[in-house]
Amino acid sequence: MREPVSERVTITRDHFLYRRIASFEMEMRDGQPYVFSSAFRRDPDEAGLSVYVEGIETAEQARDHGQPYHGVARLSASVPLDNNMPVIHQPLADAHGHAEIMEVNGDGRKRKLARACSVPILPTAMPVDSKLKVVDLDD
Amino acid sequence: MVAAPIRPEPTTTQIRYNQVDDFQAFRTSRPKRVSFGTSGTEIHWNATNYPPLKKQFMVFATDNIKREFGALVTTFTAERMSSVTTRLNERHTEVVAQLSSPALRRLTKIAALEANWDSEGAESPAALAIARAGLLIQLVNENLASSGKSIHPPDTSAPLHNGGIQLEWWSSALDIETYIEPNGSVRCLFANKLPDGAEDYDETGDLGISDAASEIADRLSAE
Repeated sequence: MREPVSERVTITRDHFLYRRIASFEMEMRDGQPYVFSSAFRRDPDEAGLSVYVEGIETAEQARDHGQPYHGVARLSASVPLDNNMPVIHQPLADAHGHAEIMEVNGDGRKRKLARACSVPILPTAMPVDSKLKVVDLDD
Repeated sequence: MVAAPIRPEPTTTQIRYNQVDDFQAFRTSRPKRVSFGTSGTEIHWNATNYPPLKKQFMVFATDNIKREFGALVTTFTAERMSSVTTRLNERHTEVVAQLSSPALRRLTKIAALEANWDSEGAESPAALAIARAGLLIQLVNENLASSGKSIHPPDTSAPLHNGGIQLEWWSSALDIETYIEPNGSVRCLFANKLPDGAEDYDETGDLGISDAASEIADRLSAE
């Protein structure tokens, strides 16, 4: 059920959050998606880490704020909230479910968030035309 | 009968250290070819990236490393390039075997990423970060070998948004994340696995690359 978006929602431990990820920000480990802590890096010019609130947005909508080949990681809001990382609902005009995880400082916190993720939408390879030739030494 | 052309044999004594200014150019130029291995890392720059030199590559040799630059810079003329590459191939049969490792292949692909690889403004991996990653892999394996342990290349890797490289080593009791920044600085996170599935973290500040390699090897050796 979609929550009303005219007001900010208080994010609680019962909420789930979506984080958009690129193909090189995860891989499969023992048959399970493994999200790298690098997927939770914070841009220096941003105060918090952008996520989307499940229930206000779907995983597909969260992905569609980026590129079609992006994936989506999902984690319980209890993880940041229980580890001194507030989660603030910051709705945007085109992203009502936008929120930010604050205080994502230090490598340990990034890893803790990454280790708590499932991946409901796997990323696909970004279509690129790399000019860089990657070869074995035998070539 | 036409005499075979005389090919001068390249030697390691022809290696010269790069000027600091030249090395700064390497840090921002895009490599043309990257190959990773346990015994060394080879990165080729196109002549157009750095016009003063015909051909140019950085080689991490097991027996001779200038750690303050993180690499040796060698210049060869085009006629010597093919014979040098052949000699590297002959010496690095172990490297070829290691290149079949999915983890090292992944690292090679990461080194080849273009800017904006995540569609959100990510930098392409910096040449210095790539070079330091290769050096760290080599030093960790040297440390392990010197203590009688089996070598342990990183189990996986990831690009950082800012142009750095993340290397990870996995074991039954410990995961190690190593962050190599675009400026070459290195720091580690040691995730000790607890019986209940949780993790306990030890984080380092910036480390010298030799100290980082020593710490990583020590932790892996303790398994």
